[in-house]
Amino acid sequence: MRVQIEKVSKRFGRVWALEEISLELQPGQIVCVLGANGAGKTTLLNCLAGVAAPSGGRILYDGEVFHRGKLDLRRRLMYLPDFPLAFARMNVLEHIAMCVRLFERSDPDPEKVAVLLEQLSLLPLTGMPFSAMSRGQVYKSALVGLLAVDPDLWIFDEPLASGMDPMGIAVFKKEAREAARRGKTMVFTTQILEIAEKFADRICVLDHGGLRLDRRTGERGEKESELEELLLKLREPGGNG
Amino acid sequence: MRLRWYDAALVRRLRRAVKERAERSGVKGYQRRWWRASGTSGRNVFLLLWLSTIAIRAMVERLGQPMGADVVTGSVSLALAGIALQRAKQLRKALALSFERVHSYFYPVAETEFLDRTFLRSAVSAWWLLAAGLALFMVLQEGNSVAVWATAALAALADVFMVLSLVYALEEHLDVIPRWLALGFFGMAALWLFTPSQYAMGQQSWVNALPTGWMNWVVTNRWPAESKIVALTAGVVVFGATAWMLARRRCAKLAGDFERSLSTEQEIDVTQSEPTGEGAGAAWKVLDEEMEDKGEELDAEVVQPLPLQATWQRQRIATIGSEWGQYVRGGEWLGEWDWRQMPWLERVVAWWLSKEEKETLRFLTGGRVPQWSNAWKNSVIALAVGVLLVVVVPSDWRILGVLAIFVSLGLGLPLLGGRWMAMDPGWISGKLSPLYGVYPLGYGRAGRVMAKVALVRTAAWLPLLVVVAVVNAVLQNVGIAGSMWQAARALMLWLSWLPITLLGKFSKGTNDTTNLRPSSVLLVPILIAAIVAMAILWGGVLVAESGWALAAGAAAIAGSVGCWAAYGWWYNRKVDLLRDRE
Repeated sequence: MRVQIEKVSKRFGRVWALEEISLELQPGQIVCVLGANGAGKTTLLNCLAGVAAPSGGRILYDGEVFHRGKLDLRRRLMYLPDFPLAFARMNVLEHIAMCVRLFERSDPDPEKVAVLLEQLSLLPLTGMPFSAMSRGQVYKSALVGLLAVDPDLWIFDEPLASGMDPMGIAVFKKEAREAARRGKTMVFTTQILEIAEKFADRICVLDHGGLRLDRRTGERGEKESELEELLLKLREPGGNG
Repeated sequence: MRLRWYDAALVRRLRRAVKERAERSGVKGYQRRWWRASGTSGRNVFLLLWLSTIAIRAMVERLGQPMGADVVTGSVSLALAGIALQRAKQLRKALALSFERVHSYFYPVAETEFLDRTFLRSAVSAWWLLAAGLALFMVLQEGNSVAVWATAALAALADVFMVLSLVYALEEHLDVIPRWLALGFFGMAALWLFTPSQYAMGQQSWVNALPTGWMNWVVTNRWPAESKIVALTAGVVVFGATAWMLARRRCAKLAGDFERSLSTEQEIDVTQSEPTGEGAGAAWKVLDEEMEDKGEELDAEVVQPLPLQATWQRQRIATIGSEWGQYVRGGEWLGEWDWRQMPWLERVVAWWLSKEEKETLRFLTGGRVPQWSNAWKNSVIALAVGVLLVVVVPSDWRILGVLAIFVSLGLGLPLLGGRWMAMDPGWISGKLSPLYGVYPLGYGRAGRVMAKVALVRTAAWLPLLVVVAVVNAVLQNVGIAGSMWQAARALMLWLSWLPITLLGKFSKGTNDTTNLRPSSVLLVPILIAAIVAMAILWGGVLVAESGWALAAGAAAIAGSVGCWAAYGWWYNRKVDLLRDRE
């Protein structure tokens, strides 16, 4: 899915969480959004997912202007926030079944679902309600829901700090990479620079609501330490990148 | 014991230091608005101020009319009953779900200290009741003597203790008290204030029979001042002691429960999500065996497992996994709900909904089968009790029957839009968002589904409405036709109210009233015009002659649907599904 973010701003009271952000994401890209706490990363994802409405500017998906009422577009994207929103009494199977119905997808192959659950160590917990699961288990369950839907745009907030175990993160990275090969677009936030550098195709750095850096990974030979320096510099008094 | 968990002086010093540092570095800090202090959201403060002003004005006007003092005290009795229930809910929230409750587990805070502090805060936060009570009882009495002041002060204090006693007594039993009862009391208080004197006269004794009306009765009767002071002093002592004892008893019970929870293994209730099917049965069998082996697992927590035990445990988990694997591969869990197996009201709803709407309904209910038929059955029982009371008992007791009929109404109809699990709040990066926020739930389709459910439930309640109309005809001696016409007016009001309740369901999950922009000012006249127009139309439904009432009803329904549609446009484009924690 091609994503065009055109001068998107978002204001909460007197605070500008986003200020005229413009970006264009191509199908098959894995985009990492970096930035300090309060930089506007989650707000950007919320706008992309339709949870928040931009105060200015617009978002286009495959050339079509997006807002919350565009259900055909919303069914083509899926958002996993830092704490996935799910019904506490549901178990993972009920959640998957609900997702495929809501996103109007055909039934997933049960064999594939079973394999995924097994890979994520969720098979013994299949009948357990979300309310009894740990945070990482809920995130992995929500991830299986997303994989069953297989949307065109994957949006993740801090997936690497979600409590998922290494097996979960490995499955996430493998599936994301395969999805990107199939032309799916993925946007995620993280604070782990090493992963950002190695896993993403493109890095966008936000600070105080503004886009300070937008570059393909390895384009100028950035190293993890250089990104770290940049982020520190942005947060110095008077620093603007 | 301090009311705050922190040292306010230290916080002030830190704030000053931060401000100085921010000024030096040129960083603009977050400023909290004064109206957001004390954990109260801005809209609540303004709404409360507005409602209080209206209530005070209405009371002052009423006091100048015949029987005014009696009606005002009656209204206050009902309002205090609502406040007691509301505060009981707040106390339950503070004890079970509040930010402090959750975080107290992670800090070295004794459970007894937390409980004592929470109950104390609940008592202290009722200070305004004392002030309001003092003002009310001063107005109700003539003169400015010491005896008048003493009577007013004692009555206000006794009222506060009475409310606190009710709060501490009711908090434990909130699960069996209807959720809407507090709102019902507030509504009745408002109605009472505008009830004509001739109707109020017969029922005033009933309103003062509420525990929250006892002090009003003492203050407004014709006893000598000394007798009133003695009675009120006794009230202060008795209700003060009752409140204290109830608080101590509840604290002791909760502390005991907490102690026991530390020594008892917590079992996970997974039966709610038990799937069906052969494979699932086998899986649960293995899980049941697991539960039987609890003792061994407890031992395993204490002693490091030997390699053999670890292998065995892994094998057990693998076995459970393989049983579930069979179930998952079977694919039965992907099936749709079999609506034919559901009770009659749910079947009727399903008959009216399209396939997509059924899936939307399933999401809205959080995957749980609705209980509308059951609610309807309870509504019929409540109505039968109400009619029996109205017909059989003496006229002075009829208010009990009327209350039962109101209960029936609340059970049978989704007066506030109904209960929808998908509208419950969840968390997104420290803000509250409705659960449906990240799923493609359309405002239009979801609203349509909720409206269809409400209309089916309304249709199911119509025979009960006819019964109520007949009972009303007998009681008021207005004739069946006249009473039926009144019922038809009520039905039109309900139908024109319904779209607004559905709009409110969506509005509740947004920040539409808190994250306002300068351009939002333009909406104020539109909003006022809409409210005035709807009020005029509803007034027309209530008082106009038959033809005009029907026209006003149709216009009110159309206007209400228009409001719903207009808000939908706004909702889809301008508001966030994010709210600050209140």
